[in-house]
Amino acid sequence: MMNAKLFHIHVVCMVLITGICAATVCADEQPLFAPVPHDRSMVDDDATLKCRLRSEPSSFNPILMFTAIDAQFEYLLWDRPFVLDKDLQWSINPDVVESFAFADDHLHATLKLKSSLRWQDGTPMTSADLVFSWQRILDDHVIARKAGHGTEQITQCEAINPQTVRFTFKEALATNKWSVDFPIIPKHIYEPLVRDDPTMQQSDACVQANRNPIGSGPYQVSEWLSGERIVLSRWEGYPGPKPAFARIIFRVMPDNNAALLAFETGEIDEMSLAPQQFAADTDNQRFKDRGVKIRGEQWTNYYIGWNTRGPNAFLTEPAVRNAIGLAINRPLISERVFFGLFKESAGFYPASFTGRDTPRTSNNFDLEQAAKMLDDAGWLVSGDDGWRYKKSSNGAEKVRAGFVLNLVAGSQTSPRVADIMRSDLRKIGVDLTTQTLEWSVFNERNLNHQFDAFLSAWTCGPDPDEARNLFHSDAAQSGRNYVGYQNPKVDALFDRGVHETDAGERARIYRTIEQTILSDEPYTFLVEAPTLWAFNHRLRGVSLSPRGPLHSYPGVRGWWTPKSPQPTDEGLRTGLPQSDAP
Amino acid sequence: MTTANPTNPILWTDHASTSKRRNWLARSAAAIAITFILVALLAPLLAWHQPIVCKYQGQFYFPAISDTASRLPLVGSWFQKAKPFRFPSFDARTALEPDAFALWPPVPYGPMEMVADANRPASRRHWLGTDDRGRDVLARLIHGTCVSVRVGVYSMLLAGIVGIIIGGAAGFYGGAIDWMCSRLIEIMMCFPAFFLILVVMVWIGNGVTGIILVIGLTQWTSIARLVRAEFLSGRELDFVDAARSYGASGWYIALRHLLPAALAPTLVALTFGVADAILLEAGLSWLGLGVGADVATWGGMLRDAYDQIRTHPGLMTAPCTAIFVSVLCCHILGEQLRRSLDPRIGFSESRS
Amino acid sequence: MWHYILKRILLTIPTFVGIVLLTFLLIHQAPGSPATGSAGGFGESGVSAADHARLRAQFELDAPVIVRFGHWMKRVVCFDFGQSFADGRPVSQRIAERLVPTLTLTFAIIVIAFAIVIPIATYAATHPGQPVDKVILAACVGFYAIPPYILGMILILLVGVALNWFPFAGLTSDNFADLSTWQKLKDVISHSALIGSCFLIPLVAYLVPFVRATMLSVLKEDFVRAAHARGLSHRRVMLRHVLPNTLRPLLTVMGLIVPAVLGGSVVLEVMFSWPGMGRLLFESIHDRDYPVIMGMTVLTAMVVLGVTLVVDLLYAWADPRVRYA
Repeated sequence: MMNAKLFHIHVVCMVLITGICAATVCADEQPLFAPVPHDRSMVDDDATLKCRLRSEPSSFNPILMFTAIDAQFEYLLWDRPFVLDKDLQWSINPDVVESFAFADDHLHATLKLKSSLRWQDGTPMTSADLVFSWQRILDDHVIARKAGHGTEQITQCEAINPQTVRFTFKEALATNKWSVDFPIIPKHIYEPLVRDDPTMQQSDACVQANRNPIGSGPYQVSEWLSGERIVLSRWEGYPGPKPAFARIIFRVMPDNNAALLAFETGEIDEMSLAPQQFAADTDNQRFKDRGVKIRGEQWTNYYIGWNTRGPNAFLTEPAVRNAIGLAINRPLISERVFFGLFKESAGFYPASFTGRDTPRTSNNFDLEQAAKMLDDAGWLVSGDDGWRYKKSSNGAEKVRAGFVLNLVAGSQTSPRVADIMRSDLRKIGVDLTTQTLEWSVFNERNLNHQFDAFLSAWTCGPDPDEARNLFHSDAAQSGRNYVGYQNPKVDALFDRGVHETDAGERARIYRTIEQTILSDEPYTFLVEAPTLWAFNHRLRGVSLSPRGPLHSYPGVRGWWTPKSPQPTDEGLRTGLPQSDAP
Repeated sequence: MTTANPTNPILWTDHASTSKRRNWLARSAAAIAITFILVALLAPLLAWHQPIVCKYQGQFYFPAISDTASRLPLVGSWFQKAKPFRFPSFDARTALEPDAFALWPPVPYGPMEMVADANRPASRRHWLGTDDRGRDVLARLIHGTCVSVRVGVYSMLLAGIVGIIIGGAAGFYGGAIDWMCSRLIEIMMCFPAFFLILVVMVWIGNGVTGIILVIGLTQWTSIARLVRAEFLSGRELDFVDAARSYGASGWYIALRHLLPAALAPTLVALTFGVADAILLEAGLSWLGLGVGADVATWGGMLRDAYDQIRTHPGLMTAPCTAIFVSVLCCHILGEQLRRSLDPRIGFSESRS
Repeated sequence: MWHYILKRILLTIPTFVGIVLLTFLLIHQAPGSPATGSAGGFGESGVSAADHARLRAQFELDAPVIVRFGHWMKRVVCFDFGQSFADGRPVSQRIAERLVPTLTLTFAIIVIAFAIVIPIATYAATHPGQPVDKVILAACVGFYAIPPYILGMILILLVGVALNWFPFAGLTSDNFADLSTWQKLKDVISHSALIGSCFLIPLVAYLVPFVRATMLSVLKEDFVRAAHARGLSHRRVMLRHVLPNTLRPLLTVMGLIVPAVLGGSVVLEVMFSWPGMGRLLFESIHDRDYPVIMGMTVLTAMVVLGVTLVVDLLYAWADPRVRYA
């Protein structure tokens, strides 16, 4: 469920991340968040950082990148004019941009790049590269799954001079600032290649260029051993601020338990923790000697999607979905499955999007009320087997109150959630069966709307409009609106929200959307997942974004280790292991 | 030779060894195997969330007994539980009056019931403790036996039938049919079984039936090879020639003369195969492709325990022991069968 | 003999085509597709309908299966297995980089297995029914019955973490490129020690009872008695008469083991972060990377058929009756 590929979106919140962390972190863990000191002599400039990768990235070409794994490399290999800061706010990257301004009509914008920018082969990075990248993203042959988001809103992108670019937008939208945030690839490398292969990913030359990119960021790919590790080394000619680590080694470690053991032996310096690991497995001395665990807010909610227009008549009634929502014991799920680390979902937007101040109270666990609602909706325990039934609309046959919940194979938590739901739903005569599906099949069923219900997780993006992809009726065919939710009122609100430029009014619109959807309940939101992470003691400069520590800017670029009198690479194994007693 | 037991010549006779010890080993293995089968058949009488017999509103009910009956193969659908106990919302524990007569199973919990706090150590209430969801480990172990026995027995039955038909056809007819069957066997041996698992899982669903089909349809090749070899050599024997000469039909010869000879080695291979099937189920569970979350299985228990191997390694012991004992049983029985059925070993060993 | 060899080689061709055809059909008919596998990995907004159509076109998903098979076959005949859907690299390259460690490990494991199995089995067979024999057999079943992931975890926890004797993640150290040849060898061996043991232990547990049983029956043969009767030393009888006759049936078993070990084990390779064939196949299936799956199928089929062929030919060479049967 928390599949690496189930990564979505950016964010915009005003959460004081450090404040949250202070609440959950012991005093001796504070140095972790210490920013790079002004006195660079304290920073160890030759250190190696060892990160954990769950699986291998699909591409280093930022236009083709789309998985969460790919995104770990994005800010390291590439410089972008706009970045998401640690609060997932849209922000201008001062190391790249000289100036940027929207015209008053919001239909134009002008971007001036710094003249010092270089590609890693020394070629200057200019506005021509930016225009070229824009053309590639919009090219029909290129499958820009993530980078292409919103780019079609830019109708014109012209290089006025080598440093200046002028954007023209289709409409004056509140989301135009996201549309200009697209990656830049080197024109002089890719232009000859796309003549032969406009897709940028099929010819051998393109594949090579994507695997060993000439980037613009402070790191270069120096080794990629398939299935084992990827090594990035610092590009010393980088014109911007120099990052602290000379090398970053990404170790491919698919198994969570093995990764935690590798963390304890110093083989890796950071890893995200499963709830079980955070709550129980990390309480031993070996872990405490090696590192710290921290937790921060994340805009991720676990939810059940109901097929609102599917063949199962039981789930097409909003009242039934509300009743099931009431019959889900969220506190128990939070306690038993997530070790009390997860909060009950209050909605699906972060509070800052909607100005929501009070948590929703209607989803309190209440079996009696749920049973009563089902009775009222006409689903009665009328058969002699104890399950609820209702005559179908044509009156011909009795439909049984039950559904199949699709789970992704290999998830630790989803069968546990389903166990708790099943035992409660039985008590009110609703039959839940689960079906475990392999990832690709799970997706195929969703895309084709062939399911009763599925359990998944969704991370809210940096702009509330990105939820359009889940709830707008247009998204039923070509988006993530697998549940087939259609509500003209919500559609209209989304269309208003994207045109609204006043922040307060926008918040009101999205609050209405959130409330409407929570009461229609095409999705039942269960729990809000925090980001759980382990870091080696020696690390500094970490910041937690609502997307975790890796997927914001500066992210890993801001990490550092203090200089120590001892040799620093104690975890680096040479040949046979050395004893590394703490 | 001296300790031959007249009641069951196949299982008990031990021409192979004069030592009584071996016989004792085989007997206890057989006893354990039978125990497993009995546990599988009678699981609700041993661990269930409803009583075996109870008095409810002035009437006697037998909920666990009718659940046991309704789980029987073939005839199970004839039985239906009495009314209030049939309802999913009916909780016998709270509904029964405290002083009313009720005979509960020794483990009064269902395998999926979350009855206590998570990860409790063994106690008088929970003899083997509880797992991470507060479910009784012993109840899950008992009901996991059902799945393992079913997976082991049915999948090997399926493998045996497919193997005997294809191997038998190849060995009996020879020629083009043999050629085709032999190629089919070779094809199956190289085939990535993993895909079959995915396809079957999606077409049939990841229930016990799916696992049985997957294991049965991938494990028949060795049986087919054995049967083919037996048929091939059997065809040349004098008594088959004799049968043919007095006009016996091909089917008669195959069923009457060739099949019995082939059954012995098949039975041995199938016995070992049951062990492999149990291990396969555990492996599939680890990949999340096992029987699924609705049913308690040994593999699933092991998978759940693996998630907590650091903090509660003790949770592994129950499913591990169950798997170990059942595999050991199958091996001892298989070995014993092989020795009893292979005249060469028996003869030469008894001479020594 | 040459006639037999030729006949035997020709026989493998239909099998080979059958495996390839069947696998191709099944993987393309199996639910899920490369386009849906990545569809869940939506970025900011996900795969638009147009992108989805492009993906389908890129992976040739809309053509009938048989047309796709024709295209694939046409390329394979020229030894071109195509490009991986996952990262665009040639399939041969992706398989080769995983095949080398797996092949080396397989070879090493089989050699070590023999070195361990034969003395143990010989001891057990020459002392049948004695306590040591029984302990050996029980231990074999016990090790055979431990699911590999439990064995792997126990080894990691005990040997890798608590004792810290061997590393348990990856195949090489980070500084591998800077090491001398000798150090490189040592490095790879120490990294492969634990995962190798996980392959080795069940294999030994499987082989010891088998070799022991074979040896027991050989020991009862008349020629062994005759050899003893001629007054040959026990050692000489074992080495000259018993062992060779025990090893022959082992040949058939090897024909089954080599493909199994070569296929790797997803479970162990995931646990030890070890870049082997099992993980590649699992990941390819996960991504529905058809070219890689087919490449691996062709390879596995060739190995299985090749090993079977060699075993058969060795039999034929040793026993002339087979040739004329």
